[in-house]
Amino acid sequence: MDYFLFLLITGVATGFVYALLALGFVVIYKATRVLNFAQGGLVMLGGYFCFTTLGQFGLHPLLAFSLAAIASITIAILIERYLLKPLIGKSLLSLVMVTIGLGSIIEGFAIALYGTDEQAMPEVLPEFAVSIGTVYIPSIYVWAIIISSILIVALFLFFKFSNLGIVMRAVSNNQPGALSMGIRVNHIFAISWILASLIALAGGFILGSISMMSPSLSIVIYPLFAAVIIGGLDSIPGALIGGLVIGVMQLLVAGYLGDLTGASFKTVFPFLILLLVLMIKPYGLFGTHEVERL
Amino acid sequence: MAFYPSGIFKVDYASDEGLFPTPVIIRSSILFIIFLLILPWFLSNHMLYIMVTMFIAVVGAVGLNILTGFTGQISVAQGAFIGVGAYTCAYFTQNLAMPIWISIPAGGILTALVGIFFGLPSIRIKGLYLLMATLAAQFFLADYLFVRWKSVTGGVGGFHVNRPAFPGIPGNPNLGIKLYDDSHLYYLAMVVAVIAVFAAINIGRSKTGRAFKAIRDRDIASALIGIDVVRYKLMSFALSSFFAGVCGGLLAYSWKEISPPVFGLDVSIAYLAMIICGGIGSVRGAVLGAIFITFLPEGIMFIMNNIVIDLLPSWYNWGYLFSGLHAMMYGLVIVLFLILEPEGLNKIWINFRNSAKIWPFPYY
Repeated sequence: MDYFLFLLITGVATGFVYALLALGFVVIYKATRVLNFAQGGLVMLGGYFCFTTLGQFGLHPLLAFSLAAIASITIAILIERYLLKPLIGKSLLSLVMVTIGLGSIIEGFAIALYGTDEQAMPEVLPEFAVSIGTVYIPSIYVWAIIISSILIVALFLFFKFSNLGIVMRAVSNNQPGALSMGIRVNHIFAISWILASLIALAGGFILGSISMMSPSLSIVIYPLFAAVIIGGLDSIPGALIGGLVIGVMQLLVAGYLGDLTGASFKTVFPFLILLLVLMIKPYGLFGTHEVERL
Repeated sequence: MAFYPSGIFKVDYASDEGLFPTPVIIRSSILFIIFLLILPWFLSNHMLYIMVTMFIAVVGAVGLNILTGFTGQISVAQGAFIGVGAYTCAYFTQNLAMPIWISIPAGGILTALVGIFFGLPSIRIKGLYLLMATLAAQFFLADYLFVRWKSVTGGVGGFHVNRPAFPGIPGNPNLGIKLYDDSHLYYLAMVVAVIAVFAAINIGRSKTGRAFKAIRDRDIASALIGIDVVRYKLMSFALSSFFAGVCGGLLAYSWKEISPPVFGLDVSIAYLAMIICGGIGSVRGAVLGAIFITFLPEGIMFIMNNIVIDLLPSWYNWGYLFSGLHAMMYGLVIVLFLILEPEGLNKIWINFRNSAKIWPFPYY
């Protein structure tokens, strides 16, 4: 029971981080119809930005996070301006492959700068002991739940009430309509990339604190695919539910079936769920069913 | 070189679709094949190995081009499909003592069946969602099945294959020409690559190929004009996987030692990079892309190790920078081609050929 509780809570924490990162996918996909395969790379890069400003420069956390955010925003603008903008209107394969290529460029960049060794993220979050019954929960998992849920709620409020959020929803709903209402659609594209990169920064910091920082952190992207597909690519509640489900189930499966199925099952398992969902509901649980016209 | 100032006149559809539109192409094809036949005498062992790898890559890239270039179904499972072919071929050779002319086709056929199975989602889904299904196939096969099914694949420890002799008979595969040397494997790989390229060109200009291209351009419209979309999509998966399986079988013989990590997602991405660099949907592009991507790491390593390393100051450890460059190489190539020349090496070749034809008089 204790073991189950431990797995459940760490799974929920992982699930919240997945949900947050899955939102990063959905934000970009809704605005630009690009599935960003480089999201894992952005997460890893965000983690390294925090690592550099906090650990290597030794700055005050607030200053460090602002610097890292500025770096992330710069990267996002550069990506949008020089990689995605020339490909607007090109085939799906081009859009997919440019983000896959971008992911491997980011990974090579991180290897060139930081090497392939694992490095520990400096601990800036205060430590405290949480125990439920006899189960001791490392404080980083609690922090992961707190930070992710705050950011998720903030994003929800942003999309629901803020002017920019409403404009972004308008663009994703009807691009030509938004254009004719005087909305600068290409600015919205850039803003959605900035939002996604900031989400990736937060996610990279949390994931880097939970495990260690290394360029292979970008593999976090693979369970996220399962999460967004289960929820439906263009649905924000779907991303949340998908992320939570995948996070909890991944840890439960790894915890209970790990001996039976081997460690690699943890990465494969979300994809089996993904295949199952695709077979039954091709557009995910909450995705828009696209009607095609000739 | 023969000169056609007023273009090539074609009076019927058969000659328009012809494999060799002009006598020049027949002659230059024959010359090119003769060149490939005598090439091994002039190559070092390392270059010979790279040439074998290149021919194998040509088979795989041409196969992926059928699925992604002709039919427009994006697949990131090519690496795993190549793995299925490699393991089948290795199993047939080592455990069943089958000769090469049974084990390589067996690898192709089994991979085709696996391809049909993982292509089944394409009946209901397409585009990004289908990409996800093939990603699932890639992870399931390469990260799980190859690792866990130890009795067949040898797990992470790898699987050792001895190269059998060329004709061979079932039960005693060591009769005949020994392929132990890379120069013998070179001819096998070359012949298979040439057959694969001609097969792919012929598929592209047949009824099947036209159906594939119709599905790529508009699947609903092609269903309306009477193309059985489900059947042709699955056929495309089967054909493409067959090529991948043959490619895998040759790889198993070339490497003699196979293990799950060499069939990972990065292999699938490298094959996608080949067809993108070459030019999507063209067989010539796939061949050029496979050549380019095979020689790219060699060229970069050569320049790095022989020229750049001497110019750099030695007090800094450049190893990370080099491995970083190595990791981003394919990504950089994909991105640069997509943005600068979306039609790939094929277009560059056509531009070069067109300007070379009229060379001294550019406004002729």
